[in-house]
Amino acid sequence: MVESPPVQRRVMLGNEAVARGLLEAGCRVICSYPGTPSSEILPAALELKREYGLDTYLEWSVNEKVAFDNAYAAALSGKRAACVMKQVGLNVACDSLMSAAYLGTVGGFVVVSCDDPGPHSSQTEQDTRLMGLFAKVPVYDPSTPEEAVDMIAAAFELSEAEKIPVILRPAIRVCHAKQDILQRPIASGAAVADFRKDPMRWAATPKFRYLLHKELNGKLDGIVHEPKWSQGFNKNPMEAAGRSPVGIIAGGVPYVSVLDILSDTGNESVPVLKVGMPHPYPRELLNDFCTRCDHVLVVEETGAMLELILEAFPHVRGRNTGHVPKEGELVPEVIYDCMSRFFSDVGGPSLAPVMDEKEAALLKQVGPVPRRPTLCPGCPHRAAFYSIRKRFPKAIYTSDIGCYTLGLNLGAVDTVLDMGAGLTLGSGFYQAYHQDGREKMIVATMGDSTFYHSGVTALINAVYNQAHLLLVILDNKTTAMTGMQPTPGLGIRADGSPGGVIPLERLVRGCGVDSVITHDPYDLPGFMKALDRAGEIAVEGGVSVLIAEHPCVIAYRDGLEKKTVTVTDACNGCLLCMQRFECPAFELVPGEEKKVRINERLCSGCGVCVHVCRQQAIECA
Amino acid sequence: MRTNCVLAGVGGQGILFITKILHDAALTQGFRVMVSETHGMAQRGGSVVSHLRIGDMGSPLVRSGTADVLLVFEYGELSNTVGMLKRGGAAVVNRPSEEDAPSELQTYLKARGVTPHYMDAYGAAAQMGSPLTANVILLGFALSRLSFPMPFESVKETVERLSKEAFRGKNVEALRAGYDWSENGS
Repeated sequence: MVESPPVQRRVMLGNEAVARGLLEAGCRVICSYPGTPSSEILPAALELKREYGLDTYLEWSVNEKVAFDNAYAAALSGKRAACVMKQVGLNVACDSLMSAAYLGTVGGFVVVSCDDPGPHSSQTEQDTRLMGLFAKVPVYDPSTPEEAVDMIAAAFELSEAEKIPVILRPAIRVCHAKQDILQRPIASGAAVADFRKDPMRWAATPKFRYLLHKELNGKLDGIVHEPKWSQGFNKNPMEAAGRSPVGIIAGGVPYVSVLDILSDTGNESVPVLKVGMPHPYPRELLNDFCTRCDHVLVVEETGAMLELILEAFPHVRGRNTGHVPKEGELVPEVIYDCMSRFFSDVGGPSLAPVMDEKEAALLKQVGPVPRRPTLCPGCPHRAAFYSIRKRFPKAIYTSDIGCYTLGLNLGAVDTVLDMGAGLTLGSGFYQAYHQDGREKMIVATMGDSTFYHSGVTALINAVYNQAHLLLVILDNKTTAMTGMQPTPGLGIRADGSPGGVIPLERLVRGCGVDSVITHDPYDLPGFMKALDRAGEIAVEGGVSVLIAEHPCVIAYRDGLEKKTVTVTDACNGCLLCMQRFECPAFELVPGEEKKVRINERLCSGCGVCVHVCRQQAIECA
Repeated sequence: MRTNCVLAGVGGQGILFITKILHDAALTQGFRVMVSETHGMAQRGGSVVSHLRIGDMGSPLVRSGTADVLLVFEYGELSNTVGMLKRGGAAVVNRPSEEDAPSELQTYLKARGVTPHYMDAYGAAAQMGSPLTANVILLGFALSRLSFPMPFESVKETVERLSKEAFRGKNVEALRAGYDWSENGS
């Protein structure tokens, strides 16, 4: 055995640092629903719980609203608690957030909502800071994993002192950054559940809500005027009587990029105001900085919150003046361009381009060809989508959020709105056509975890309102996209201990669906027959459900049966396997345009493609 | 001192593992490190890019056009990431023997003064009978051709420490093989 060197600093993923920060602050309860970029926080907390023998309660909740409420109850019982989700997850929990802001809290309550500028793995680029503004709760916006740890400690203190929920908004470059971080002791929170009844508050009627709203406004006023809550996080480098021809206001991840660029180019003298606590916004600090600088650039992600607050200053530049793009991630090269344009417009220092025009033109010729994401080789969803497209070529395909969004590549996904909308848009399309006397075939697809998350109410609605549609639940026995978290169908909880089992088939029947068929999509011919049958029932009888059941090839890769797949000389180069079936394990034989071979490094050996080839040129043993 | 390094490939090649080896080795040498990784949907067969910064810096991302070194684990990703390199930067590229560099790419590399070092890591791994170690072989090759602030020995120790028991021997062997690899096939 090789022994680990003794280090006090450890390289941690931002999400691991967030987990550690929560436990260092004595957080006793963490509830989460997975979603990029937040998914690694709960598993990291679980690992620390085991390492330190803590009694922290950790759960994968069924959705983000459920996670919020479960954690919030712990906070109302006097414990420190947190709920963890991605930014669009906070939309699902928004109802609770808005109301909890009024009610307040007893134990510290922190909402970790991870933003995804880009977006890399989300349906929107929304800005959680603005949710804080909307809900009237404080927000901390870390620039690095290390700062996230410090902010969590402050967030719990603030939450407890002012009795208010607090948001931590780490963006993807904090969540999925890694940094060496000093390991501080883990504090075991000691609070015992002790819910003090106070119906005037916890069950307040509208008349009392007015008073709670007034109280909330008072709390925010107090917080913004108490320097200790933002100390070290809001930083003004200007001296009391200082002035500067140019200045930059930044927060979150863009702040460190701005500092890097100023240091790379020898412009450290340009003052940068850091806003680490964007809500309640530090109006006086912002105003003061703006009056001391002749020209100001605001670099913030992903909205234009600070810029909005500074609208009265005509010398403030940013998204609204075209100096910063209104969409997309502010990666360092984008910020470099923003700063360069700003400086050149206002007579600041000049930033030389990293590439001259000739080089840039040559690079363009190289023609980057980014790979589009695809379903993995052997993914059961591929077999399901291929069959759906084959059997119902004219249907409207409403789909949902998960790996299976990539059914797009197989031409079997027409819509992706948000979690659960595979069903709700499906029933909506049916009704819109039905109203005109037309019966449109609708095939909705949804993963197992998404179905538990928000498909159940949608299915009940479809049955109740007599929509006719075929729902294919892609049951791969895991939450694959976000890192293989267990689902309620498995009866395994976050820590691996046994939980209650909610079998899909029974759940679907419980929603009022009479026709439920379960079939393995790997059996392509049989699955197509099952689709035909389920489709007929949908047309005649209403909602029909086909559960496409096959475990995820990544989550359950151990002990996977692997067949040897080969392409014979019968291949006529029609490329159906590459283009329609779209398995990444097919490739062209080098130097030939019409001859396919199997890339053995990628092939999972599922053998489904044997049924796809019209020439019977694919064999497996 | 700052070393900006970009690692590129596709999902499933173990790029996160190689990144971990490098950042842990840097940490044992007393450097501060900052890394940015690809997770989520992009991992599903898409391009995977890691940024590794050694030394004092704020952002986990390397600014495009300023990377000192580039490690390309899947040849097709070279054209997607070559713009990350600074003028005069260096690249190590896994190029199966059957692939030829397109002329546009060669022109760009020349104009930018970039030195590419090619090796067929898949071929070398297959020859050693452990196809899954192509990533570690390329890392060994990179250590011999590019300048990192950590010595080979510290990386080797890190590989030993981070490898699972069953792969430890093979990984160390692969690292050494990549390090000792030469174009004339010794």
